[in-house]
Amino acid sequence: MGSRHRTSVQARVRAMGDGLRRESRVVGASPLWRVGLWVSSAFVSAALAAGCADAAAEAASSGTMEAEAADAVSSGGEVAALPPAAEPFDGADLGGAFDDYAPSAPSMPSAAAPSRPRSAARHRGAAAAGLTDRRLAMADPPNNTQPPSNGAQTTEQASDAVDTSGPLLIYTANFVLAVFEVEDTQAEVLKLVREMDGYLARQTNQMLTVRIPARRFYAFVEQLEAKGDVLNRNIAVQDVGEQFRDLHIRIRNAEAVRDRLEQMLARANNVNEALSVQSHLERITQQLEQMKGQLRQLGDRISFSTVTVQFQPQPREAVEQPEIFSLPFPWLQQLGLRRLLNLSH
Amino acid sequence: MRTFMIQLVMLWTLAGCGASYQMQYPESFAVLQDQTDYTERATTADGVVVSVRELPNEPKAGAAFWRKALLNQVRLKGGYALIEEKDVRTKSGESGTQMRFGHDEERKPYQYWLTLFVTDAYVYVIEAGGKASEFAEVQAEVEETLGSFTIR
Repeated sequence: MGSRHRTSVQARVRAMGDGLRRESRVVGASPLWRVGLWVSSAFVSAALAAGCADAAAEAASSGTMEAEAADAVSSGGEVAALPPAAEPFDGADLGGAFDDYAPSAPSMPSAAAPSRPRSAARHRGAAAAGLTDRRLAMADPPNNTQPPSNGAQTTEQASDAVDTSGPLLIYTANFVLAVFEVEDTQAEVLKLVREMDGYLARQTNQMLTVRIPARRFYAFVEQLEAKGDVLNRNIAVQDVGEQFRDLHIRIRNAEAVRDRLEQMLARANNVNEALSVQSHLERITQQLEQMKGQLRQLGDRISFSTVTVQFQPQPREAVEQPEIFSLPFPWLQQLGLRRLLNLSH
Repeated sequence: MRTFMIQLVMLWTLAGCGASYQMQYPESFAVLQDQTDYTERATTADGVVVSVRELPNEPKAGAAFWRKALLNQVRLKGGYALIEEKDVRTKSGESGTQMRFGHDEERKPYQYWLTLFVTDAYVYVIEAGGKASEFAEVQAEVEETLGSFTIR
């Protein structure tokens, strides 16, 4: 297929897609119609990308950097497997496309974004975070859930140590224990936590929040319940396997897009092209960091169960002994000058 | 006649000297009769009083127990200030403990002494007290009286 012909086909298909998008805005009153039209539009775009692979490759090599950048971003994660399309740069389409990468958590403040996109070597994303499939399916996860020495290490180690071969579960438990000596019992529980390679997350006079390696969750709970009279027990298990894997895939795709943008940046012919690509690169890098942060946090919650224990001092038998003990000898009460010196009786 | 005299002596012994102890008072003290709270009590004309309580040692306890019981009662409950505590020995060889307290009543200082003797059968609590100024005048006589305490 000749270059001119491919360009013509591409233009026609694009026109169809744009037409459908415009129509969807007009029809906008009916949500179902809008969804249908957007799906159709997406199919058209996919056809454009697939059918014009060669043309897109040529276009990419011809150096329309803005179009490439827009395409790389607007195609979402799946575009990583597709050749670059030769669409002109359309900043308006980027917003929606970026939404595909937007993490569910609130966006980080812009100040947190790196001023320059990091190099691809440093930014191997999931691989850097230990999230490749090979590493995720670790054969012996228990040995990799060592107690962290600080919070930063917690998340890093936790995401590395997640075993994705089975269900990914987050264990959370809340206990209310009636105990005799709160301080002593807290000390015993903390000792148990250390023995289980867990760590203290929060402590108040009558409450402890501890993190325990998930593999030792039930053993810890069993021993914890022996420390006092369990007044209330609430254990929750949440399966986050789908969420974890979805996040992992989104990170991998975003990394692919970022790599492409970095390549484009390296091939930029002028300042305008470089600035345009860099802008996209910074945004996707920021979102990538957010998603990786989410993944680490999720991994931490999977690797370390959270157990909160509230201690209630067990009510004791009321003992009303005065500060000064009284012996049952009435004559003792008669001691003293008042009676001694009163000679009338 | 002779039998009658013996019976009279025995009655006198039982009635007048029924206590298991004996204590002699100097002339400045008058022994009060018909005491209810005390086994005996004597006073000077200025109101310095000495009294003896003869109590069965029940529940049976040692000198340490009764000493502490007295100390808690007078010091902690009564608010008396312990000025001095010492071991005492009477002329007859009885060993006991003496606690000397000071106490202010209506801004006037008083002396209050507790002397304790404990045997298997009895607890003897001897109180001596009065206004500090008056007490000082007869302190030697009080000490003499306490020194005469004898357990029969």
